[in-house]
Parts: sequence; C-alpha cells; structure tokens
Amino acid sequence: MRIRLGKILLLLCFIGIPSGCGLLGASTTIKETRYAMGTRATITIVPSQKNPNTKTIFQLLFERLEEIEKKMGRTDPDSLVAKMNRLGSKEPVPVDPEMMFVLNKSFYIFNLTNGKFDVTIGPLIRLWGFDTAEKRPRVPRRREIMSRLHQVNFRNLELDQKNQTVSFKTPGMGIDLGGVAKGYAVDQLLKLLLEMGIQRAIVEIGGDVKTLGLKPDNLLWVVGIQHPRDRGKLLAILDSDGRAIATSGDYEKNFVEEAILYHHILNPKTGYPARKCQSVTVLANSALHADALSTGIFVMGTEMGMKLIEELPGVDGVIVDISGKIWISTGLKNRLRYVG
Amino acid sequence: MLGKFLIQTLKSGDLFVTGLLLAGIIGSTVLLSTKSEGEMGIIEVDGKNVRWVNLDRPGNFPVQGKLHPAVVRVHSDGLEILDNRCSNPSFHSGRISREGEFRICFPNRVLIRIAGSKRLNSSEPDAVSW
Repeated sequence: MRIRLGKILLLLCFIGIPSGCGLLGASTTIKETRYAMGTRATITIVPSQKNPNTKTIFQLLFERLEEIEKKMGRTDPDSLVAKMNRLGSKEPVPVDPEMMFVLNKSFYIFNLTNGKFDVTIGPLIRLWGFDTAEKRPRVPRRREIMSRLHQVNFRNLELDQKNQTVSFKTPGMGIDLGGVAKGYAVDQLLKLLLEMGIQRAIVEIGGDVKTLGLKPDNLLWVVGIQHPRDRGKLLAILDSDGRAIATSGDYEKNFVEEAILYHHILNPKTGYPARKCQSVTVLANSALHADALSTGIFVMGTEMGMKLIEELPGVDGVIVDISGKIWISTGLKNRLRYVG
Repeated sequence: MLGKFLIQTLKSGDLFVTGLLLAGIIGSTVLLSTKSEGEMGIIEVDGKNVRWVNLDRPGNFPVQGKLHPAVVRVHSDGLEILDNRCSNPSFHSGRISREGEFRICFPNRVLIRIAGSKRLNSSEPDAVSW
C-alpha cells in the first residue's frame, strides 16, 4: 500500500503539478507588515531551502528593527537619542559603535549637502510639532524659530571617536535621526537576511526600499515612485538594480494654515520648510545614503541637488521641482517607465 | 520513460485515485488564484487585520480604533478612512485605489490597504518609494 501511494505521488510529481512538487522549491513570496519606527515596515521574502523557517526569520527581522528603533527613535524617552539630547549639553554621552557609525555617516552627508542635511535639526522639528504623530503641528512664531537656529549645526556636535562619546557644544542642541534611521534600518535588515541565507527579498520601511536578488519568477523587482501631487498615482516605476531607493516629499507630513502648505522637511539654515521641490527620489548603494541624500537634496533644490547627484558615483535621482517639472539624472533617463 | 513505467505498474484503481488528487489540486489552485485576483481592501487596527472589504461593494464600515470609533468608506474606485478626530488628517488622508497603497490614522492606529487587485499587471510595483 505504501509503495503504491509512493508511486501515485511520484506520478503526480512527474506530471509536474506545481503545487505538489513546487512545495520543495522557492516559488512564492511571503510578506509581513508591522508598525515600526513611526511608520509601516513591509518585508517580502522568497524563502530559501537553506532556511525555510519563515516565522523565525520574520521574528528576528522585526526584533532587529525594534532594537534600532529603541536606540534611534525620537519619541522613546529611553532611547539613546533621547539620552544624548537630555545629557549631551552637560557631559559626553557614551554611545555604541552602531550610533557612532550612523552619526559619522550623517556628518558625511552633512558635508556633501553643504549642511542642508543636518541631524541636529531636533530643536526645530520639536518646535514645529513634527516629532510625534500624536502632536498637531503648528507654525511657530518667527522669534521662536530664530531662537532655535543657533542650536542647529552639526559642527557643534562633538563626536569623540576614541572614547566613543557624543557631546553638544551648544546648550539646547538635539539630535533627530528621522532622516537617516529608516534607511539605516533597511540596510541592516538586508544584511540580516543575507546572513540567514535569504537571497531574494524586498524591504520597505516608510517608503525607503531596497531589494535583494530577483523575484521568484526570475524577473527584477519593480519599485514605484510616489506622485507628489496625487496620492493615488505613481510618478514612474523602475526595475530595481539592487540600489536602495528613498523619497522625500512635501506631501508626507504636512498641514495647511492660512492657505499655505507647511511640511516636515525643514531648511536647517532658515528653520522653515524647504520650498524648492515637491519630491526628491534618490538611488544609492546604501539605503542610509539614499534616505539622507533625498532629504538634503530636497532642501538644496533642483540645480544644486541634481549637480550633486551627477557628481556622486553610484547615485541617481529624480527631482520634481516646485513647479512640477521632473528632473532625471543621466543614469535613470532610459530606465524610468511612466504609468498613467 | 519514468512516467511510462509508473503508468504501466499502477493499477486502474491507483489511476483513479491519481485522477481524484489531480482534480483536487487543480480545483484548489483555481480557487486560490480567483481569490488573489479579487479587489479587496484590508482594514487593520493596531497592526491586526480586523476586516476584509470587497471593493466592488461600496458602503461604510464602522471600525473600533485604538482611541475611538472610525468609519472606513468603500467607494466604487477606492477606499478611505473617515475620522475627523484623527490628529494627523493631512498626513495620510485621501482615497486609495491601487494595490499596495495604504492610509494610516496613526493615533487611532487604523490602517487601510488594498490587496489582490484585478488591476494588477506587469507594471504594478512590488513596493513604492514615498
């Protein structure tokens, strides 16, 4: 009886029923979505034969995400960022290598963008009420903004590489990693996926996207770019080449007061929302770079921003300027597909 | 060759069982694929899937959010959250109609998203950068 049953199953497999034999191969994707880092995180993986336990994989990935959020989150009073903001003006605050890595990278992007991307923007973000979803943002008085501007400058953030400490040279300074932490988390999750033997996946945290390998059908993963003026539309789509894609837009966290749109991407030099672009999408090898560059370039504006994109190796971008005109870097000119 | 050998060695009853199994597998595959092509919206509260709604049937669906009740409205061309107590109305408000799109009322922890769209085609993205 057992032999005959075996023969029947063998025949089914021989006929090639995908749902019979396909169970042995990696032909499907498994997706899981959770709230994390103040937004939505979606991870899609193609399970591998080496590591078929997807439940454990997702558990480890979301635990790692939680660990990063606890360290770099802006709202958790126990986070390392909160500790730095509380004590940084009084004494050097010890940080771990991971935080030092993110701050060093942030300083690199600060320099590239001539100070337009600045993680010391915390006091302004709090003043406008963009730091938590629970608060209703408001337009601060001009003098309130002026009184905070001197607290925003990465050059007043002392990073002691030898002792692994951080301190503020100006009282009242504050770090906000909102423009870089999601990108860093995407990079970290992809690293973890590779360590777990997963070679095909797509990770998206709050619109920062990075892919690994190919889809189950051996096609490239397809990534859309949000249209900045129509939430129901995409600006374009492109086949992922493995680089990270991050977008910063004025449509994301905003409010209207007296017919003026105010959004969360603040110019560190003026204290007001940057007005030169509707959205900036950046492709870079690391999601951290793409995330931070998209914010910095949004503030820089079209001409300076596109110049920087063209100068940086491995970086491409799409800028929608404030008039709605689309600027595309050389490397993307023949790769974007437009959808109705 | 192997197939021919198997067919020759199996009895007629075995072939009948094989046929039944085949019919079952094909039937379930058809059912599963039909479900994935339906236009469905998903309502989540605090990360938990609380309801699926068929986008072909417009109507209002009350939901108990984490802080207060809200309504999810199904239109003929999309889905939206109606919640004027949501303190972030402009963050993620508006109608959604495309697979993968979502809207969130953060404080009330209500999320809506589109899954399994009939409009799915080769140009549909696997993820959206926003």
